Amino acid sequence: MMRETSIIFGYELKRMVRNPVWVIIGLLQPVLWLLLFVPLLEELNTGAPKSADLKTFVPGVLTMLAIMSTLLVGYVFLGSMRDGVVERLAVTPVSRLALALGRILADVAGLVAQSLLVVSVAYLMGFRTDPSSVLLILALMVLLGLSVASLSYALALNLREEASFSSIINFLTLPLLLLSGMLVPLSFAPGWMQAAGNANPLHHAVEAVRALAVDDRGATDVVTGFLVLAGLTALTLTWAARSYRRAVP
Amino acid sequence: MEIEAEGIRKTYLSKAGPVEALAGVDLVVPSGKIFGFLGPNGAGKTTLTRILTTLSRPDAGRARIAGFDVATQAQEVRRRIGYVSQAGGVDSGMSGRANLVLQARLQGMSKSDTVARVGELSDRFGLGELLDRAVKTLSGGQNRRLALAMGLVHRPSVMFLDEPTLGLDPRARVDLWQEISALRADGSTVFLTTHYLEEADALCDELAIIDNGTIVSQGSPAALKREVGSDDVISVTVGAGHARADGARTEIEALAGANRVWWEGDVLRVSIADGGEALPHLLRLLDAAGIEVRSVTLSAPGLDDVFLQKTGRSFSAEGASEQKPKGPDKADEKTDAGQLQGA
Ligand SMILES: Nc1ncnc2c1ncn2[C@@H]1O[C@H](COP(=O)(O)OP(=O)(O)O)[C@@H](O)[C@H]1O
Ligand SMILES: [Mg+2]
Repeated sequence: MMRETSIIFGYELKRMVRNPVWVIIGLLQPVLWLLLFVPLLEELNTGAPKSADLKTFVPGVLTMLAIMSTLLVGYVFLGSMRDGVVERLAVTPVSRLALALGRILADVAGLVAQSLLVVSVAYLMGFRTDPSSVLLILALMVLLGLSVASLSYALALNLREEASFSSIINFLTLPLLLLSGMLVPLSFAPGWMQAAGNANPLHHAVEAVRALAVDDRGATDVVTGFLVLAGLTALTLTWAARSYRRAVP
Repeated sequence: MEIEAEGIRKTYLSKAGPVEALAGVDLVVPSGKIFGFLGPNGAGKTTLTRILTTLSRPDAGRARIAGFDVATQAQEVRRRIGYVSQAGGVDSGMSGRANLVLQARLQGMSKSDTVARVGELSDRFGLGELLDRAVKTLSGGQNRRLALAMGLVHRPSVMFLDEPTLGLDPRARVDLWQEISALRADGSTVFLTTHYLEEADALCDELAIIDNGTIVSQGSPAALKREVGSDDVISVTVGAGHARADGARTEIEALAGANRVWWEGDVLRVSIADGGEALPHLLRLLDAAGIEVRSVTLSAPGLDDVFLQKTGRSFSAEGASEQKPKGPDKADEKTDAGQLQGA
């Protein structure tokens, strides 16, 4: 099981790194956000110290990254299904758990690498946080990545078709992002929007990362964030696993 | 017996209602043979192949591969079979080598065994430098050879090939036939599906013909053709003189071995024991009667005749749905076709 999982994991990582789209979009883009947005924020937010800006903005970039980086894994998976790759692997004696786990762990490892890069670039720009907070942030990233990737795989396995997958994803993305307060904090929003934000797990993820960015590790936001994301991960992973078992007996 | 199946049924539930893909299939495939599963599109070939390769569960019935039950002993079955799906299963996001290595490692080979085996397969299938090229740049035939090599990595005793030559050009198809024949020479059993009549005829030792989820006939290609009768059919397209043609009819019917003479539009058809021998006599008779001959086709009985007789419909790649009379346009599917112009 371990051996099989690590073989799939290694293969999927190699596949990711070989893909120029992942390297450009996945690594360069989040860095570009930082490089382009932060000077803009400085212009807008006169007076506030630079590191305070970064502490609001970097958590937003990280959460956004976690979503963007894992939201489309189902789309790639549909391509593998169409090419018969999923069937080919399913005819080997490899455990189904290893097939699924190796793949999703590679998705999460990719995300962790991207997050570390963003944190490093932010550090160079003046973002200072305690290493233990960074570790907790990464743990939140892992949970968030696992949930979004599972959701994406489950949708792909149930829809079985790229066109409907894309339209559902497009339909979901914008409201979820806006209602998370990722880019514009929800404290500026009207009451109904804040209420909607509270129902959005992403919002709690952002708030938890923001609390950690200011080293407030004991904040209720952090506890809530971990609980909400753990629950979300359990739900989406179960859904994905069930859908996978139905597709690959 | 390498493959045994009894009473396999499978119905899909689609939005348009239930689709019965397999309506009770029984099958016995001896080892060391190339077994062909021939049927038009939608006949149920992929459905059966997926059930036999443990990818799908039948609604009813049982199947065994090398004595192991596909439903309850799937792991044992998977260790013994190779499978190349209709889509091929090559990961186009990786090199051919990475594809082969992954397959070997997942079949439990050590790193050093993997390197040796990849080298062997590369030589055998002439993959060479293709292995390090992006899979997207391979031709259809090269991609299929790679897919076949991947299916063979663990030296399976039964190989399942779902439409292995689908979409290949004739040259690549013949190359692949040679590779598949070589598998039999190694002692493997090959189960392949196809909707190409000439492929079934040229490649397979044993055939089952499937239509609408039911096996309509089973046996060697030669035996199947014998079963439907051994007549050749001569088809003559006539120009002027059609009206007078019936004058020659009695004489044509008197030709040695002639069984039936009939018209389809301006095409005169003669079903006759030895068409090659009768053809010059027939042309002379038509000439004497003043009938202008535009073209002549001679066809030996083929698997399409078997299909026609068993199902009442002609075999066509578009699902065998339309009633199509035997015509010269199908002559290229026959084993022995010749065309003469004028006379
Ligand atoms: N997943 C599915 N859902 C609904 N119908 C299906 C599904 N797969 C196959 N079918 C139907 O089952 C029948 C047999 O299909 P298939 O086994 O793919 O045929 P073949 O491989 O001989 O072309 C067809 O009518 C096809 O439309
Ligand atoms: Mg098919």
